[in-house]
Amino acid sequence: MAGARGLALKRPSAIPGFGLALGFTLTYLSLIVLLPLAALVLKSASLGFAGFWDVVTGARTLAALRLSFLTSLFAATVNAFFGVIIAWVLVRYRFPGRRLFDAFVDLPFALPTAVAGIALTSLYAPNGWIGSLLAPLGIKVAYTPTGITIALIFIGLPFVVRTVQPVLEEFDRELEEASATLGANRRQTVFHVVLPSLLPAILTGFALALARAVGEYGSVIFIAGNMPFISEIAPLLIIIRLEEFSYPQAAAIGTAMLMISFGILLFVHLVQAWARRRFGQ
Amino acid sequence: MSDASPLLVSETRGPAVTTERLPVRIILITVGVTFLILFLLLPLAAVFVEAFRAGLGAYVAAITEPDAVAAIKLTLLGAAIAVPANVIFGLAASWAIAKFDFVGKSMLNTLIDLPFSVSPVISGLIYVLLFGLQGVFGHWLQDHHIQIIFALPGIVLATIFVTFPFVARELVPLMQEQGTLAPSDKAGRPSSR
Repeated sequence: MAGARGLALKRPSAIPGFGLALGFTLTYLSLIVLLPLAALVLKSASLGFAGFWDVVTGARTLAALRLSFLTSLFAATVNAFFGVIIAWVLVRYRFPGRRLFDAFVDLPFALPTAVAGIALTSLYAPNGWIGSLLAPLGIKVAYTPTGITIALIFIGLPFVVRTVQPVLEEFDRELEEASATLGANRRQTVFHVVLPSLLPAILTGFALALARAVGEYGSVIFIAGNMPFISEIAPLLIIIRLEEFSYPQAAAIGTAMLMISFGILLFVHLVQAWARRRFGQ
Repeated sequence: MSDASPLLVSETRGPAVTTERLPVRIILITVGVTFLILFLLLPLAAVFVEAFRAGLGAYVAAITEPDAVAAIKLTLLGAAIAVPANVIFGLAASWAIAKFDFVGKSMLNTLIDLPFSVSPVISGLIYVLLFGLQGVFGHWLQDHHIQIIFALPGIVLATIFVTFPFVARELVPLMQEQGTLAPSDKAGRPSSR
């Protein structure tokens, strides 16, 4: 990196290894992440702007992008809601099996996504444990967008629970006592004192779950049914284009996904900064 | 509200003002646990039921079949190369981020998290675009008889990409807590020990 000029070390000679550490970091980062991503953007640029726009606004691509982002938003919202309840229950209450449930929260991290997808499909297929209960009611889950949402809820849950949990654990109980002393009832204390200080963590968890859900492939393709325009997610469309050797098209869809994801993450980041200013200590 | 119920005592035995009333606690626990069972435990149960459906013998036969053994070996080998590479990177990155202040630090932080928000499909795609036959280095690699895509190097690269941020993410807060005092500074201060 060209910049001994811009480096203002806190203690110039106290700690060794800055050049080596940063140099290695930047080299590795560039080789593994930045250059390949640049290749993606370059490849999609080979279509020209008009070509890129045609691919991205093609009916099938638009349908896939819309499906991916809407199901992901919905799943991340569900996860934010139930994730906070689960984190709350795990931190604040003692009940039989608490440790066990606590351990199970990490399950979606540990299970290969394809395995999760097959398991969910066998559960929600019309002859599965849950699907057979829902079928008489006329509810179809597997091979519909509902199924996609369920898979995305499955893989996103730990992100919310695991970001909220530590913040809740370190939350100063004296604030709650003070609030009660000042005459607030329990509901007011929870909604006006505790939850606002959890908000940045909840948003972080939401953003992580959302980002993961948008890109998810392995667990979704089994349960989705993969019908164009109905249950075909954007990552699958990339694979399809790749298998057709339409590399520029695949790259264009990938670039569009990246841009929308970053837009959403940037927005969440701004809301988070606002929440910190508004509710932070 | 008394905390008499031995099963559902709140964590603090202190004043009841810092916990919810018993019915609320029971409802919240029920909602949380039901959600976990429905969305996490049932799928896991389905995996095991499916795996052992044909009995333990069939299960052992399935995972000792040559194809399965080769696949498991390849997966483990890929991870055995990718994880140490990311550990070294994580050490270097967290050392630079936690111990020094420099221009573009928050940018670097964001870039390290980038692979978290990139679809695994896209991470595969980028390496195909680089090293595939039609890719940027495709012809050069073919001329030199080097295969990356559809071979072990490709698997290792993709694994490194998707696990890229983990080590650095865990180490940065830890190193920041250690502070930026050099060991010699600490030794210079009067110590009670």
